[in-house]
Amino acid sequence: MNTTKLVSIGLVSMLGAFGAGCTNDPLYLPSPTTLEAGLEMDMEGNLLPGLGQLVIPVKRETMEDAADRARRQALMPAGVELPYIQVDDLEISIEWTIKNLTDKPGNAKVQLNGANQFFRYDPAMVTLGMGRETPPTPGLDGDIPLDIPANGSLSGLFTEDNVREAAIDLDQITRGNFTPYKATLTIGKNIKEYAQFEPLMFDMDGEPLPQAMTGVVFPREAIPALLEADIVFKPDRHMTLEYTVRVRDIRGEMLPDKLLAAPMDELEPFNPMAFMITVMPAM
Amino acid sequence: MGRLAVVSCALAMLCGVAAARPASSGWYAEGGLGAVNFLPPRSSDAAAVGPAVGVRLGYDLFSWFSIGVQVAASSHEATVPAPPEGEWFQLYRGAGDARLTGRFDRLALFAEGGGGITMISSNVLGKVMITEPGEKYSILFQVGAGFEYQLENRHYSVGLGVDGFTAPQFEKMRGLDSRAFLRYTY
Repeated sequence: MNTTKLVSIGLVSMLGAFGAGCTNDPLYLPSPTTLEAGLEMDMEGNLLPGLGQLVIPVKRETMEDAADRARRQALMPAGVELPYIQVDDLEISIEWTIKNLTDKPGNAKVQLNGANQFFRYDPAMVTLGMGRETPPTPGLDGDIPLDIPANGSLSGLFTEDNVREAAIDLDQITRGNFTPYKATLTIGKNIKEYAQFEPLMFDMDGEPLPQAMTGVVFPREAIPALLEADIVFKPDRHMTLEYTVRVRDIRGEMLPDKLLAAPMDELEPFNPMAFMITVMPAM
Repeated sequence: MGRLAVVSCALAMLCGVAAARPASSGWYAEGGLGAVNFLPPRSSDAAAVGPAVGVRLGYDLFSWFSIGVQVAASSHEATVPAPPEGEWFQLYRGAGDARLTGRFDRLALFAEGGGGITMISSNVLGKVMITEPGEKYSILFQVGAGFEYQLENRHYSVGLGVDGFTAPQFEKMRGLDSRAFLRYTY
């Protein structure tokens, strides 16, 4: 091969590398507000957490996408609804920075909850027993105690793996009728499918009863993506938390160009139902 | 001082006119590696110096004047206030330009200038308002200079170049692209 050909091949390869570099570039959605907590208390003297909510904007479903989804929906078992945005369509991570505004070291927890296109999960709406020893309902991720130095700051993140796991846990809890303990304590980020349980029932003492399988199996393509990130910030003294949601659009063309500034009529409507479990003793 | 000038003139006359080193002329390609550094005030606070790669294709209309097109890419760590922290973005540049060259034996000095378009790979600099929502492209202007050293083979030369560029749509982002390059003339 002569030098001219080698130079030409090298040039074409470099141009190809430029093109490949443009795929899957991350986009950043800043938190609408800085969460501030650790000052106000409720009636029982507990510090009120800071709450943040950020909905990931997605474009309206096109006629072609809807027709394709309808075609795939026809192949699904009864009781399995395919979402518009699947768990593997977007890779999401959430980066946060906590600032301790006091001159004493403190402690804080950051909990991740959220919603997909079907349901919103809030642990406060889920009661899993009436006994005093019933542990609190877990969030989808986080809640790890963090040491924050006096007047210092700490940065961290919910990784793409964490958020993918949270999205799968959310669907298992809401449509799969898993208890939040079971869903969050098992690793499901790589599952190909999961089997649905019967809805959770309680005995006369308010204790949960064993659950049977319904026989409905949700394949991975039926698991929706997390489209709303709900952050619960629980510091033990006056602190602030800022966060940024980082999204990689794996499917492509899902996110509007202007992101959070996009006009509402360009965006897919997002109205998830609040998910609830209340203790209803079986008759 | 006057004596030094006389000696210098005498030496120059003795040396005579140097014969230009044989160098191919016509279509050429250049590949370069280097670094892009952003300039103050705003863009240098928002992004760190990063590695760059670029290619240029051109044609020598005369021995002293050529036109060309170039594409270049550079990768930078965003140094915006956290979060996000430790995130990188890429800047892609494509431009057409003209180059004036003066050859002095093995060495050739050049000055170049042109315009084109630049694309930023993400909106991470939106946090410091360098990009607006939905903004990915900007017009690009650049000027620069450098030198080439002609190798024994008349097709090849190596060189160093520096281009200053500005992207008005990205809050007048300004930077310097410094590169070492290899040129092949067909």
